[in-house]
Amino acid sequence: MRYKLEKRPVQNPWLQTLAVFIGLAAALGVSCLLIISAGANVGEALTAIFNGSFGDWDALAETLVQATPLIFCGMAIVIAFRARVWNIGAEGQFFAGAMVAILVAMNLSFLPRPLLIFAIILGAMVGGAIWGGIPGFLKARFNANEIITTVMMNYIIMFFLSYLLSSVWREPGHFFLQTARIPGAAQLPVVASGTRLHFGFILSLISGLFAYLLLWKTPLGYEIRAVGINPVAAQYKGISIKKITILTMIISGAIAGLAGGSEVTGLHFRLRLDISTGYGYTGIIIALLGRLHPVGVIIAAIFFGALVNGSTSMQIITGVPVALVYCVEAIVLIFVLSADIISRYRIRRVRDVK
Amino acid sequence: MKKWILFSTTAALTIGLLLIGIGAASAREPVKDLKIGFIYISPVGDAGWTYAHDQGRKTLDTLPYVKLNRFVENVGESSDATRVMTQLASQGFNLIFATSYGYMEQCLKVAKQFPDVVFEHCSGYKTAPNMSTYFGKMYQARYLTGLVAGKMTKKNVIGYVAAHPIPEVVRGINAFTLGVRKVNPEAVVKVVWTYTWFDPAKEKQAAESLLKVGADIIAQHQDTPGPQQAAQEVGAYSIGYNVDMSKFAPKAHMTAAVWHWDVAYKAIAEEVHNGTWTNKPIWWGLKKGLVGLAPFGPMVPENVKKLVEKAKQEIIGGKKVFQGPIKDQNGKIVIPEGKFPTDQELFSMAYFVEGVEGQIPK
Repeated sequence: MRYKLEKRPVQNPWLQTLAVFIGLAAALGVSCLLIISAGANVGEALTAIFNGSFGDWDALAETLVQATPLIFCGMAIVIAFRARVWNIGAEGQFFAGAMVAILVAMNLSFLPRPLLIFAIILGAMVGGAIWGGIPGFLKARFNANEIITTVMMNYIIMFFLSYLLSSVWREPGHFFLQTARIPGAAQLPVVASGTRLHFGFILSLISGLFAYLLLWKTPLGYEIRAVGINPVAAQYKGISIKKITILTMIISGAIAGLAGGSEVTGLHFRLRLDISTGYGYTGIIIALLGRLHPVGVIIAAIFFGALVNGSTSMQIITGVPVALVYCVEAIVLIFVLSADIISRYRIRRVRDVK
Repeated sequence: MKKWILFSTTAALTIGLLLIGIGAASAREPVKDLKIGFIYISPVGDAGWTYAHDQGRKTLDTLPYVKLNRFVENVGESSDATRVMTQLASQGFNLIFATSYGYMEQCLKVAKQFPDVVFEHCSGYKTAPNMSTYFGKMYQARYLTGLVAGKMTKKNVIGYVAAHPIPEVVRGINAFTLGVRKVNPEAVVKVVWTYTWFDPAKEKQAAESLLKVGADIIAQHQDTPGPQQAAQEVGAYSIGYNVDMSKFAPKAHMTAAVWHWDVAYKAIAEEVHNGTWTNKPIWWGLKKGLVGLAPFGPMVPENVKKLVEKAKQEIIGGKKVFQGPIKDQNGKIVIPEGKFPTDQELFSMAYFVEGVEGQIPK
């Protein structure tokens, strides 16, 4: 007697949607237990999270600011994972993009503003594309496991940046590991006055539209998905897996690089080692929660942005530690993914045949 | 180097002007109910810098007019700080403490947006009509711990794990070294920079590298007890910082240069409540009790304890830690015989004194 996990013969999209909500509700329930164990009033804590994230226009704008890098990184992961290329290096590609963006912002600031902004965006994409393309090439040429190479590339770029910031890029006359502020012309425009919501958010939505069109409306996207679903069949059809691997990593890296460029020129205005709080890694969670679909990614990213913002508000109002929110994020991931699997698969008892 | 000097001079002049009270705003309206918010760079459980601030924050609960007293931890020295301080101010907090040097620009920005809220920034040099800065003469306590280290070292090599090469840290290293050399002119203090305030693993590794090159005592300007643990693991002694760190390394911990932030926090809260608050910076030392020493460990003999206690009383009585002649690393006299550096010079200190082995990055 043994058990077997098998795909349900009839896939019911309603059941699958319902499952996500049941998963969310269960995650909320467990999170409430955590809040209670931290000695806070659940109603008060949840109200604080909501008010801090969607309570008014300022809070909403700030939530979208937090969601922006997550949308980019989520999209980057979606494109890679759709081809079953496991890009764990969005964090490094993020910084590669931020570094080229800073280079452009510092050195080409004589350009007219629209051209300068365009150059920054392009530069960020090129930076990320190079940093993503290298592991893609290594995978295609030498069959080097991209999980390992992309993670190692993250370390390389962080230490390289750390070196630059402690020497040639350091703001003159200052002691901290950070560049000087970029000139005003190189800063992405604010799109909702009175808030910090910048053009990067619009770009992130465009990247979502791009990801959708690429994956479902172009031959290349078809090939990417085909390789992801069944590489052997794709190869028989004449699709070059090597080409798809490299291209996927380049596109994925470019979008992650754009995240870095957008953060550094839209929000921080200078490059520091701490401008990412692990966006490249959180992007993986976002992509999985969003079921590798651009719309799902945007929803999941805004949800996570709201949690970041709302948790500050929760700590201010109730004194519950922010660390609890990291737990909530993980709980949501576990429950939603579990619910998703239960809705698509079923467990069947199999009798051994004698 | 030139730009560095320019920066230091500007900073020193700014502080100097502030300290003598030019530009100090007049007193404000009394605030009946205080809602106080703190932002912290690391978790309250860091057992060091933030923990010390949080101990101080908790004492505010004893004041009857403090209605709300909250903190937000793990706030980055990036635009994250702007976001959190804006949230605090817009949620009705009327006294906000920003407890890290790197929050200075963000604090200034938010202070301009919320003129009715009082902002207090720790360890910086910029102020506004509703923003002041507070800090303590930690170098006095550092000097005392230096006396302990100088007496206790056997190899005459003391390791010092240091965060960022800013004047505050340099000043502490110099005061410590003056203490060491006062009782032991043969000893040297080796410095390693970590470029981080808070990174338990990195801090510990830095201490290990110092122990490997012969240090038998570890001192630190870091936020966590990582270096203390490194010392204990190889049977060396150590000197803590921020708070009494003895429970993390009971066999190594001789004493620590500690903060008593409650002294400043209670005073500031009372002033804001009474309407007597001005943006005049706070710069207190052993005398007011803002800085002090942790209890000595069992390895410290009576005669050393007595020596330190005597020196402490002398400083409280007005004796200066920095007193000429003081030579820099190259043997050049930087403070002539009989002279004392001004506060401005202390705030912009950018050289190591004789006895320090290490470099300040240019």
